[in-house]
Amino acid sequence: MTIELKDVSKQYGVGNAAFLALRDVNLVLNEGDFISVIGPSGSGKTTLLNIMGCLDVPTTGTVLIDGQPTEKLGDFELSKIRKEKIGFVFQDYYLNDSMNALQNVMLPLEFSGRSNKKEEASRLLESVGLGDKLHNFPTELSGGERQRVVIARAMANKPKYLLTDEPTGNLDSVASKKILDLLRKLNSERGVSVVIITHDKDVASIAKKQIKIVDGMVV
Amino acid sequence: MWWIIYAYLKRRKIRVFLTMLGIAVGVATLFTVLSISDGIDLSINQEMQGVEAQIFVIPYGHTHDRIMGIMEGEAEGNMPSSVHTQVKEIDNVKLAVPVIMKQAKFEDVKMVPVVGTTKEMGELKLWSYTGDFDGAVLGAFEAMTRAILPGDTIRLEAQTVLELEVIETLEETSTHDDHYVFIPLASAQELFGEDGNISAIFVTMENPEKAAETIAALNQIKNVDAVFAHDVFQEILDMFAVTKANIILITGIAIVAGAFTTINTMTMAVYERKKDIGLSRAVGATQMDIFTLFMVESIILSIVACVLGILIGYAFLNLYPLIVPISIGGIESSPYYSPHNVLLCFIIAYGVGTISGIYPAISAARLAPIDALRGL
Repeated sequence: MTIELKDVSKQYGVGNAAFLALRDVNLVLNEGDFISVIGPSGSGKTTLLNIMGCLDVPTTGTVLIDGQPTEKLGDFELSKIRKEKIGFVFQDYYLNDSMNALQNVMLPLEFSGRSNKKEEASRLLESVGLGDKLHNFPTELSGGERQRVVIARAMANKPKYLLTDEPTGNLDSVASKKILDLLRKLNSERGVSVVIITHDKDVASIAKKQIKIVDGMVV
Repeated sequence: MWWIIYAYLKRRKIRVFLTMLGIAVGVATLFTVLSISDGIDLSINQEMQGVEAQIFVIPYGHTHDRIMGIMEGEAEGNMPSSVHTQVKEIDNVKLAVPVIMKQAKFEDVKMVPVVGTTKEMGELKLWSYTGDFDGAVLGAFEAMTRAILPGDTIRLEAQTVLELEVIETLEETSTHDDHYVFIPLASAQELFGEDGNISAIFVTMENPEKAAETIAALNQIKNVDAVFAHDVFQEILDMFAVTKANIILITGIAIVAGAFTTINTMTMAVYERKKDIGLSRAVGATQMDIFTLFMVESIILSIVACVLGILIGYAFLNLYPLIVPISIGGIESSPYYSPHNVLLCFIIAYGVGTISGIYPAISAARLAPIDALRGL
């Protein structure tokens, strides 16, 4: 059970405006791994995460999810991979403001065609300590609470891989600790492979393995 | 999926309402036009059956105006009563009922159409009354609104004043007859100062298969026109069909305008919800899921707007005839609420929702997940 990147490069723009965000990256995320990817702003960390999660496609190179090359997969297959195998946690939360916490967690369950969405979403929110905030809208939640909703949403379809982009970037130290503890727990207790993208060395240090990325290259 | 759409619609209540109002106005107009035109069609058909006459014999010239006059209860032009004798002598004529039709003041209050005729009118109209025709026979509307019963006396005023005993009140027929006052021909001639004149003769035939020969023979009589009643009503129906088609075309423009409002709203929604679309794609939504969400939202908007439009149309139809009576060719009518029209409005609304949703739904579905998340 792996996400494997082979000689992956990503170029944005063309001609003089061309910018190489990733250069020949080779990386393997194995089952149960807890990896942090550290690097300065603009080094290609988020691009790497998006490509690992099949949200973006590499310009060259191959991404294999559980051994399956993804470059020739269509929208339906890529959506299925994201739905069944990958959970995302974003720095900016990306919570849907039209929906309350419960509905935000129900969203991936809806696209999976699950019947017991409400019960499942409630259980997930309770597991991240938000059992009393089910019907609060994102604007009624603190930063830490929003990020916990995001983690609950990411875990809704029981993914094998949890890809997190600066999960504590907008949080204070107390809320950050809670989120990191939650990620550690998901890795150790449920065997979820976790990737944390960060520029914070303290955050990166909680991972079992650290990768540094500079100018699009893993160093 | 429904709860997702509901959550989005709830977020933009005012815009959603205004968008729906755009379609609702178009649907209300369509529903109103269809209900009014169906009511008129029905009235014309009822009138066609109520007249019973197969042929109208009228004074020569201005055929259309004279027939319209008869429909409106005030016949134009006169012809001598002797024509009646000539008509009766023509082969295949079963009944020839002379009439003189003009307006007279009724009970010193309002003008009503008065029909001077003979006892044969009862035979033509299948009245249950079979006694002598020596008084007034009242249409159902006039009898009911004034609570007039057989035996009462009514007062009519035109050139002279007449007081007549009511010998019969008619059952409601939903035709002109409900508003007419039938009196003996001689009394009407005296009332209107038209001694020896009649306005028209209603004719029925022994054998309708010989209609062509009969009408040809009738047209041989000097200074008269003979026309088939069916042709007259068909002319009114045809005239109305053209008007109806034009009105529906104009209504179509209103609906198209409503559709553009929906396209605009849904396209705006795609731009506003780019990050939400990206998020949905990140958690596993396929392009088809996104397409379906936008399509269903657009169709729901249109269907709810359709319900609103029908309610607006229904309310309008209950008020409008109180202000402006609905009438064509002298035939008054009221709106006819047909399930067929309701269904048609829903089908059109569904079509508008579908067509309006296609472009925004395709735009939304085609967004690359990463671009949508970045709001690009």
